[in-house]
Amino acid sequence: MSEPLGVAEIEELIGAYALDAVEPDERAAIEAHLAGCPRCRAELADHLEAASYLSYTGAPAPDALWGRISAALEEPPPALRLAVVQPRTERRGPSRPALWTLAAAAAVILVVMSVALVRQHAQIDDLHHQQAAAVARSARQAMSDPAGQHFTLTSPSGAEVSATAVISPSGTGYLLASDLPKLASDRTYQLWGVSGSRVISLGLLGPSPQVSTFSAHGGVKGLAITDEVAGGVAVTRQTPVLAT
Amino acid sequence: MGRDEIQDVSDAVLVIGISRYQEQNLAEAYRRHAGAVYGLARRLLANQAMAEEVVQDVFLRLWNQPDRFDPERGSLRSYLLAQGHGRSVDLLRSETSRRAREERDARKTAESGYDLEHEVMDLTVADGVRGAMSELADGERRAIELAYLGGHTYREVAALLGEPEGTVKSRIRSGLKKLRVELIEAGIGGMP
Repeated sequence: MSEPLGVAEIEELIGAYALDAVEPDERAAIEAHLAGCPRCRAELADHLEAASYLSYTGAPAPDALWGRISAALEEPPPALRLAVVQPRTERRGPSRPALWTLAAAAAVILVVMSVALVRQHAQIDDLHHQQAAAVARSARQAMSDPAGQHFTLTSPSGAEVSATAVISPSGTGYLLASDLPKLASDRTYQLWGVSGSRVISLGLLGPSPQVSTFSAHGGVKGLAITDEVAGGVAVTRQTPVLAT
Repeated sequence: MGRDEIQDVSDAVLVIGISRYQEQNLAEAYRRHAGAVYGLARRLLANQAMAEEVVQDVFLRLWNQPDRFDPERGSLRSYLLAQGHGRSVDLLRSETSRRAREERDARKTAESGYDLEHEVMDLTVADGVRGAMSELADGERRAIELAYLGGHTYREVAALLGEPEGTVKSRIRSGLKKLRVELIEAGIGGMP
């Protein structure tokens, strides 16, 4: 296609797009349009819903297929989610050699994570001892930047504690939480980001956070801070100390 | 969450559990929707092994990237079917399956009318879908069938039917809009 598609042409193609029936160059133009057009996204959702009944049989998938899918889940999850350590109590039992392999892999992961955590803590110490002023200055700048995403965290239980945070357009976040009471050395504050229906860990703040930096990639709509065991947790069961 | 409870939770809540590595939630999503994805892939590919591969891809992707499903953009069912359709069409359009496709097209273009497969279990829904399809104009129905169930692009559909491309894309769009209304009137697919 030599000329770019106009909006009217793109809208006319939404139906064909829903059926995977457009050419690759048209697909790219339609997807770019969809990203900024809620009305066309709604139309697409309707088309997809309608089309989803066209092949309706009501018949189940083959029984043996679930077994294969379930077995494929045993492979290590993507690297990003390795940071989320979660006991897997409902796994079907792998063979004994597989268990040892898993245990060895888990040990390696734990060592790597410990090293990463030590490094992280060392970095945080550095920041606090050597660059605290610079970080505080960057944080102040970010806090006054209207293009940033600003958050105020307050106590759900009504305690007189609060914190503020900002996420810059580039995804660097700053948290000012000097109000928080100091925790015992075997505890840490942990920062969480709420993104859609997911709650993801944004990092450990230590037992006595002042100014912290964090990285938030994409779509964080809310923040929360919990009190956890030192080392942090994958999925929190605590009521937040502070939340937006 | 126990087996009994999980049967009652919404698809959106199921996906939150999947994002937390709860395999029982993926199993429940599979129980609810894998049959539909498999039926579609098998119809498109006319090959059981390839259809199973598509279903496996779709559910592994849901496990590995649950955040790609946005409940505000439609139902889990239509999301999974769209994923399965896209994957099937990719396979269909790949070089290796071109020959099989040409053979199958020779059969398909000879067929006419809307025909559900024989293994229909839920006759209420199947009847509703059949009834909704019958409300469409012939040109709309055939264009949608050839595109969605035949895996053809609208340009190919235009060539197959001997009609202008512009007419075919308009008919696909108007036919889908009409189909959606008819299905809702028949009590099918009212969400979201």
